[in-house]
Amino acid sequence: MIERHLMRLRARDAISAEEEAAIRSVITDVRDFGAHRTIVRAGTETTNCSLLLEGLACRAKDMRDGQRQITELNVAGDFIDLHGFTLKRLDHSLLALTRVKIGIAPHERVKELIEAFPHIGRVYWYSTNLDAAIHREWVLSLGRRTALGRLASLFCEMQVRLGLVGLAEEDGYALDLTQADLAECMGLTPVHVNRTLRELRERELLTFRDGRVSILNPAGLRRAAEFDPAYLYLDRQSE
Amino acid sequence: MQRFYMHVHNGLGTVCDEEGLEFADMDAAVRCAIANIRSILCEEVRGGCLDLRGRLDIAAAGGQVLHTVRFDEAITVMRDDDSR
Repeated sequence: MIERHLMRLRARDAISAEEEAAIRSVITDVRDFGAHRTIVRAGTETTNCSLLLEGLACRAKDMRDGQRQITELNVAGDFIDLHGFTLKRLDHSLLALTRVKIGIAPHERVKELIEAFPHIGRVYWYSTNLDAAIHREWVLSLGRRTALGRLASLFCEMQVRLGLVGLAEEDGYALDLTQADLAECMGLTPVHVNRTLRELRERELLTFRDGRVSILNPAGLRRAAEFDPAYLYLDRQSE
Repeated sequence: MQRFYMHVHNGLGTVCDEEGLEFADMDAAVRCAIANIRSILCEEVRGGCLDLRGRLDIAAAGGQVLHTVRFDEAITVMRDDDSR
């Protein structure tokens, strides 16, 4: 059930069998949400952490006029609100972008876990730092990259992150998002996304059709994005 | 809710919308069309060009064009000589 989470952790650190068993034991319930449903609404006090087991989810903030900014996409294996363990109230919403399966980890159980296994505490601290690094990269995109660069960067990032949990190959991956979802990620509009996707296609870098990203020119796509995966801290380390 | 499709025609050619978006009515679709045009024009201005000759067609699922918004209708352009 938490295999993708373990893949994500083990890509960067060693997790012992004892630690694995302890992580498994913190999940007390599994809940399903339909596509575009709210998992946790902004402002809600939280007593659980949500581990995304299947599907795509996101962190998002809304304007009063209905405009939405997605601030990070989450893939299977991500704890999508580990920061809620210390914050206790989310300043943003958690949304399901596709049908998702969420493992519920009560804060009390997470506390027991990291007290019994301080190394896991450091691994999860690292994980929230990694989220912050992803947010910084998105700020760079929103502030400085062109529309083409933003989308190219997002597609590069998702390839790496989905690849870590066995859901992407060198030539592409499934990404069941709409153009409206991509627009909300990258501060664009759906029509602008559509036009930019066409430009990516015409430059023979990538196609995105029917929920499938096909990467035609990996090196060219990374160049167009100025994508440097260093911010994803892929080096294995042991703390 | 109704699903409308927004097809863009401008100097770079035609980009057809195969996905569409749902709106309460045509007024909401037109507001979205204007926001879409402004987003495209913003990007062009960042690159040093403003081409107002394009248009965005709001179409039904069958392809019938229900409303057209010209790019030059989506923004107000002011120049020095306009104030005289």
